[in-house]
Amino acid sequence: MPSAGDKPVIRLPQTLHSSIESRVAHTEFDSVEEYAVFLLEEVVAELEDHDPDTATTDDIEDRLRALGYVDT
Amino acid sequence: MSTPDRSVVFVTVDSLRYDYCTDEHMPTLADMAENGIAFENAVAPGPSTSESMPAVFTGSYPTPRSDRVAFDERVNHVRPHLRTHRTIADRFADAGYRTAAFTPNPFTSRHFGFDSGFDHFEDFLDGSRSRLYDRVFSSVDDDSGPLWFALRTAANWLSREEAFKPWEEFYDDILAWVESDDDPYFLWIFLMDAHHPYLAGPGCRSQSRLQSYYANWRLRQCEYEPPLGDRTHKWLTTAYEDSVTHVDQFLTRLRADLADPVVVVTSDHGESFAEHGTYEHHGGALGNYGAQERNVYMYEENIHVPLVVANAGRTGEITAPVSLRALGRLLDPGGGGISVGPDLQTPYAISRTFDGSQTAVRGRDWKYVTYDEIETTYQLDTGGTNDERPVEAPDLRRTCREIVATRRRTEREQEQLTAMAKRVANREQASR
Repeated sequence: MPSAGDKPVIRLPQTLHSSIESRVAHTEFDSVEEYAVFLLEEVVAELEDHDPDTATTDDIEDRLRALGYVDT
Repeated sequence: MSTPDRSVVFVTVDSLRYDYCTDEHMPTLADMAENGIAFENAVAPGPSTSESMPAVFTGSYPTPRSDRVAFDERVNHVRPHLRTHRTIADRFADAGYRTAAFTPNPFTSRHFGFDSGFDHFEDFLDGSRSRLYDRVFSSVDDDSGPLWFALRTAANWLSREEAFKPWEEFYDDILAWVESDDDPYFLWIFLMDAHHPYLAGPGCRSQSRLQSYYANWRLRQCEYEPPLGDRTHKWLTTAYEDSVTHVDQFLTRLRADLADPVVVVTSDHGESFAEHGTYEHHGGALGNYGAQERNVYMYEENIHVPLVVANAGRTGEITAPVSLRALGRLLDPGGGGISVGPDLQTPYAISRTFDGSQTAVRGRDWKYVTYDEIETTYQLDTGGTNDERPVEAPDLRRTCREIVATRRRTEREQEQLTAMAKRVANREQASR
């Protein structure tokens, strides 16, 4: 696979690149690459089944209460 | 792949205001700025830790992923984002650096996903209680909660345990980790010493402990809303000044003990002292919806933060606005640890609250703030203070509306991409 420095290069069809480029123009994404990386990171994370369940601990909440972020 | 070069120490100081980083209060940091690179208009991505640090670490704001409220929402908002998107630490680790973090702040703990990319992650969540606390409070039942909690908080203030852990408590652990290997490292240290309650160490107090404790207690009692009274206000700001000096002592010691690494010092957000009707910083109201949700936290004292790069072999002052979201470009493992390119500097930087209801567009000497559709434009002082004066600037307002609209479009786009990713993954798993 070709690479640019430390990163492998992925080629996109021009029409797809142009579609993304037109979306990027109206957002804070700086480039097609940044947009595509964001999307692919989201997809891969979901596929790798990152645990969406989160748990709070009594220690965390007590510490936040002590800092004044949660009412006693 | 390029090999690691210089080690990098990244110091974030909770609640450190830009205008307190002076010769008077922080002589070491001032010297680091004088002899290094000083960013005069660094802007925090948000007015509280969990509204700022996720964007610092990833370069992007987290996408809302849950409609749950309070603490769980905060975790569900931040943790998946830190797990999904490459952080500064991930990039240093991928580049072959050894990585470590020391962070007593619960909002930057492993529960929020900040351990991603770190070989060694100390968030002091395990075994952080003192034996005295365990003996005194372990048998308390829930009915006695509020009183015993108040006593426990006081005990913690006195013993500086848990969330108030002063830097001296873990400094030797930092050095031990650094000295455990010869390879270049990326080290992140998050200091809580300037966070409320402002309780500086013995070498920094310019007033009695009683004055400091009383002022801090009154602040909590008043739920961070003025008025406190002139005398108490003075004691409180003095306590903060002493705390800031305490932070500077850390930098003095760090610089003496670690001569080699590049050191980057910044703050996650600032701190209010009733300049605009509030104290402390945006609580992110974990469902509280009290004073810290009613007031605006987009003032200079909230979002204008220090950013100093020391020991990088370069000096200079950068006056253009720089968002801390760009720190991923500044902290560059492929560029010898630090890369100060022109792309860091922008015509404006954005700061926003958790839900986007407050958004600031911060230029070099101007600012626009929208809060629930109320718009204000400001002329900013460029002389090192946080002075800001409301001015009429209709053209600026129209332009900033477009900037805010772009921000909101970006948020919606991110939400759609996140939702699409979920659907793709669900379909893929269903087809197995």
